[in-house]
Amino acid sequence: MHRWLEGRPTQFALLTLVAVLIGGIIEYVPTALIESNIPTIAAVKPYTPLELEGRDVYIAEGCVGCHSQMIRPFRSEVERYGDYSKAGEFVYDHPFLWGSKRTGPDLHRIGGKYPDSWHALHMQDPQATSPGSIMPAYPWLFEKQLDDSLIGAKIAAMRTLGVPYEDGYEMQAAADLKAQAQTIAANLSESGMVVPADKQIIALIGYLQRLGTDIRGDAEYMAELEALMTKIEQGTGFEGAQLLVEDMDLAAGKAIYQSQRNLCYTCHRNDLGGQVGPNLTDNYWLHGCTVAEIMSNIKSGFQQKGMLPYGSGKSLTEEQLQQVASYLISQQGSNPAKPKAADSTRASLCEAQTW
Amino acid sequence: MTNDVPSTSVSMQPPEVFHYDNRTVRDFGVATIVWGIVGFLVGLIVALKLVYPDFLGFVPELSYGRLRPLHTNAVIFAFAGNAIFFGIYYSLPRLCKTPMWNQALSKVHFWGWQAIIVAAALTLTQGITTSKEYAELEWPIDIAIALVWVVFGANMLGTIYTRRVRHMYVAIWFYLATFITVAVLHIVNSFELPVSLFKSYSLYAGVQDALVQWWYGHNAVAFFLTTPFLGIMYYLIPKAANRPVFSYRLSIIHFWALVFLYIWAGPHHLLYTALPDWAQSLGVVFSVMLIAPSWGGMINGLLTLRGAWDTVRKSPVLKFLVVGVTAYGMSTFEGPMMALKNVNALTHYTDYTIGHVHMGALAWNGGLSFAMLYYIIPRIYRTGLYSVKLANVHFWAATLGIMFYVLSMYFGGITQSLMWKEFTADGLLRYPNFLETVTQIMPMYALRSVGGGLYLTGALLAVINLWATARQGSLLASEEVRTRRCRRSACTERPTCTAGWKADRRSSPC
Amino acid sequence: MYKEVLRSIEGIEIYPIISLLIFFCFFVGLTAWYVMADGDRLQRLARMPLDQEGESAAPHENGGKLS
Repeated sequence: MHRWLEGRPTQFALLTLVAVLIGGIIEYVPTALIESNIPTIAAVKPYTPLELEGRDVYIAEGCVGCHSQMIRPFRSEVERYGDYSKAGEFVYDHPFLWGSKRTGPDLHRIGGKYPDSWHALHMQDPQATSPGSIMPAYPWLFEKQLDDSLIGAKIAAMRTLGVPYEDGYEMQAAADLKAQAQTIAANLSESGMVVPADKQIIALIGYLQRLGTDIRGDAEYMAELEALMTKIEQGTGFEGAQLLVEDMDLAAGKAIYQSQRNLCYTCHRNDLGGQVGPNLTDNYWLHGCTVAEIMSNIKSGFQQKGMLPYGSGKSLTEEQLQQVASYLISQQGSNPAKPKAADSTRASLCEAQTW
Repeated sequence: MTNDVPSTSVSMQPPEVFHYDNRTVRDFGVATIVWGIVGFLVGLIVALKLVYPDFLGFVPELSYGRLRPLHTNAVIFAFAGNAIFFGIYYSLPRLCKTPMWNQALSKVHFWGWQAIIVAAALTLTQGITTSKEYAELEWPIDIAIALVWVVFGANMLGTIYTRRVRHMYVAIWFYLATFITVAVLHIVNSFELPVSLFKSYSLYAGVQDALVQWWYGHNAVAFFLTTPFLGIMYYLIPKAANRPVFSYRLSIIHFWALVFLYIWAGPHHLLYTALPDWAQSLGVVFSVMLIAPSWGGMINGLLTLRGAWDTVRKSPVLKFLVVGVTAYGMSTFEGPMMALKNVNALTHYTDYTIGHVHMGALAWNGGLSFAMLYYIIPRIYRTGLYSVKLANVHFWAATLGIMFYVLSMYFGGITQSLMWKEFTADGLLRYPNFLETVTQIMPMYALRSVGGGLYLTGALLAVINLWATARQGSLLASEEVRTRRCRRSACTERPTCTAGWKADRRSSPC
Repeated sequence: MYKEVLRSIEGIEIYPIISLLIFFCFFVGLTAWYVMADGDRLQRLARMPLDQEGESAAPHENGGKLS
C-alpha cells in the first residue's frame, strides 16, 4: 500500500492532509461546539468604545510582547496579581491577548490598581514611577491623536462577531468615547497632568483601567468601597498615638517607606517630593496631619484616588504604621528638588507645632 | 518477488536534454542571507533595548513592541522561509530529475515572497498588526501569503508530477507535508473580519482564539521550521557526506509519526490557562510522544555520518549540519519536557522559553541554512568555497554565540521564575515588586546580547565568504543535464524511467 | 465551571480516544509494513540523492577552480 503511495503525490498529499486534520479537528471542534453555551459571566460586559480603541493602541504598540493577561491558578500568581483568570472573562476578546512572555508583570488585573495619573506618568517616563524599569517610554502616545473615525465600523464588526452591542450603538459610540475620554483627562488634570482628551494615551489608560475589573461585580466593589469609607470616618483607633523620635524607629519607618513590598515611592518618590501622589514634605496636607491621622490614612488608603489600603490584611502592623508616619513627619521641610506643587484647592495648612 | 530490472533497451535512443534553473536557487540564497542579517540585526537591537531601554531613543517605529514581531517574522518567514525555498528549488529538481515545473511560477514565487516580507517590515513598524504571534500580518498580506504559497505548491507539485523517477525520495514527503499543513494552518488561523484595509478582528474570541492561535503557532514551528528542514537534511547530509542515509526505513516511520503527532501538541503552550483541562492533558501526552519521532530524525541524521567523522572535521558544511541536527535533538527533548505541567509551571512566561526557541532557530534552522549556503553556492557558481578557514571562524563564532545566548537565557529564566514563586516564612511573597526580579537578571540580558552579537558577526563573515565565492566563480544559471531518454509505460501515463535511474517496477502491473 | 459545560456535551471523551485509536492503528500498521519491507529496495531508495547522473560534477569544497 505504501509502495503505491510513494509514487503518487496527489494521494500522498491528501493522506497527509487527513493526518493533519484529524488532530486539528479533534482539538478544535469541542471548543467550537461550546461557543453557543459558554457560561458568560454576567458581570463581563463588552468594552466601551474608548476601551476598544485603547485595546487597539495596546495591540499596535505590541504590549503583548512583554505583558501577559493570564493569571495562572498558582498561589504565587494570585498573591501577586489577583484572582486567577477565568475562561468566561475573555468572551469578547477579539483577538485574545494572553501573551506568552512576562518581561514585565501580568496585566490582567491591573484595572483600578493605580490611579489614572500613575499610568500616564508611567507611560511617559517608566523610570519615574519604577526606578530601574527597562520598559521604554511612550512619549508619542501623548502627542498622537486617537483616530476614532473607525469606531462605528469597529463596533459593527464586533457585533458581527457576536459581541452584544445594541443595534445602532455605532451611532452613539463616538459620543460615548469622547465623554469617557473627558473623564480621564479631567482625572489627569486634577493630578496636575494636562493631557488633551483626544490623545492615544487617554484611550490606553481607559483600557488598562478596565482590565480584569468586570469579574469583581460592580455592586460588590462599591460595597467594599463604602465599607472602607465608613471605617475612615469612624476613625481607626489610633487616637493618642505618639510621634516616635528614636533613630531606630525612624530608620525602620524609612525602610518600610522604601521597601519593595509597599512601593510608597512609586507615587510619592523616594525623596517624598511627590509625583502621582502629593508632596509629603511640605505643610499642605489633605487628610489631617497628626500622627494618628496619618497612620489612619495609610491604613485605609484612598481607593478612589488610587492609594491602596496598606493596613488591611497582613501588610502593616500598628507599630509599623506608627514608624512610617513618624518617618514622614521627620522629613518635613526637607525640601527635595522639584517637588510636586500642592493642590491648594484641597489641602489645608498644618502648623508645624501640631506635631 | 522479482528484483528491479534495469531496462537495457533504451541505449539506442538519443539523449534527452533539460536544464536545472540555478538562477532562482541563487536568488533565494541571496534572499536567505540578506534577510538573515536583517533578522539577526533587529534581534540584536531588541536585545540591547532590554539592557538599555533608551537605545535608539523613543521612536515609535523603532520601539521594542513593534520591533519584536519584526524580528520574529524576519527570522522565521524571511530567513528560514527563503532558506527552505533555496533548499527545495535546488534539491527537488535533482531528486525528480526534472527542472522546476514552471519558470514563471518560480519568478512569481520569489518576488511575491520578497514583496510580502517588505510589506511585513513596513506594516509592523507602523503598528499594523493582528498581535497573534507569528501571524501578526494584517489580512491583505495574509491573502498574499496564501496566494504565493499556492504558487509555490503548484510549482512543486507540477515538478513532482513531471519527475523522471518513480519513487518520491523521503525528502519530498517532508516538502509535501510542509506545503499542505502550512496552508491549512495559515488559512484557519487567519480568519478575521476586516474593519479597514489595515485593521481586522480575529473571528475567534478568548479561549477559542488562544487555542487556534497556538494550534497554529506550535505547528508553524513543526511544519515551517522542522519538516522542510528535515527534508533538506535528508538530501544534504547524504550529499555532503557522500553516503546514503543511515536508515531509510526509520525515515519513513518517523515521517508519519511526526505528521500525526505534531498537530496535537499545540495546547502545551496554554497549560494552566483558562483552556479546558482535557485539551491541556492531550497536549502534554502528545508532546511527550513527540520525542520518539523527533529523535528518530536526529539519530538518522547523525548515524549517516558514522565512520565519516574525519570529513566532518574538514568540512564547514558538515560541521553546521552536525551542530544543527544535534541542536534539533536537544530542542525536541527540551520541548516535551517543557510541556510537562510541573516543568511548564516553572518555565512558562520566562526567558527559558526564549532560550529554547533560539536553540532551535539559531542552531537548527540557522545551522542547516548556512550548511546549505556553503554547499550550494559554490556548486552553482562552479567554483570552490572562497575560504574554508573563514567558514570555520563563522562556525565557531555562531556556536559560541549560541552558547552565550542559550545558557544566559536558561539561567535568567529559571532565576526569575524561582523569584516569582518564593514566599517568606510569613507567607508573603519574597519579591513582591516584579521589578526586583527583572533587575536581578539584567546581567543575563547583557550576556544574551553578546551571544547575539557573536552570531551576527559570524553571519557577516558568511556574507563576505559567499560574495567572494560568487566573484571567483560564475553563475551556471541554466545547468544542462543529459540523460538517456525515458519512455512512457504502456500501462500508466507515468514515465517509468529506466536505465540510469533504476526503475522501480515491482509494483507495476505490467 | 468550564469543565461542566464540556461534560454536558454528549460523549465528548470519545473524541480524543477515537482519534488516538485511528492514529495508533495506522502507525502500527505502517511500522509493521516497513519493518517487513524489502531491505534491498529501501537501501537502493536511500541512495537516490547520491545518484549523480546528469548532474554536473561537484567541485571540491576548497578546490578553487573546477578541474
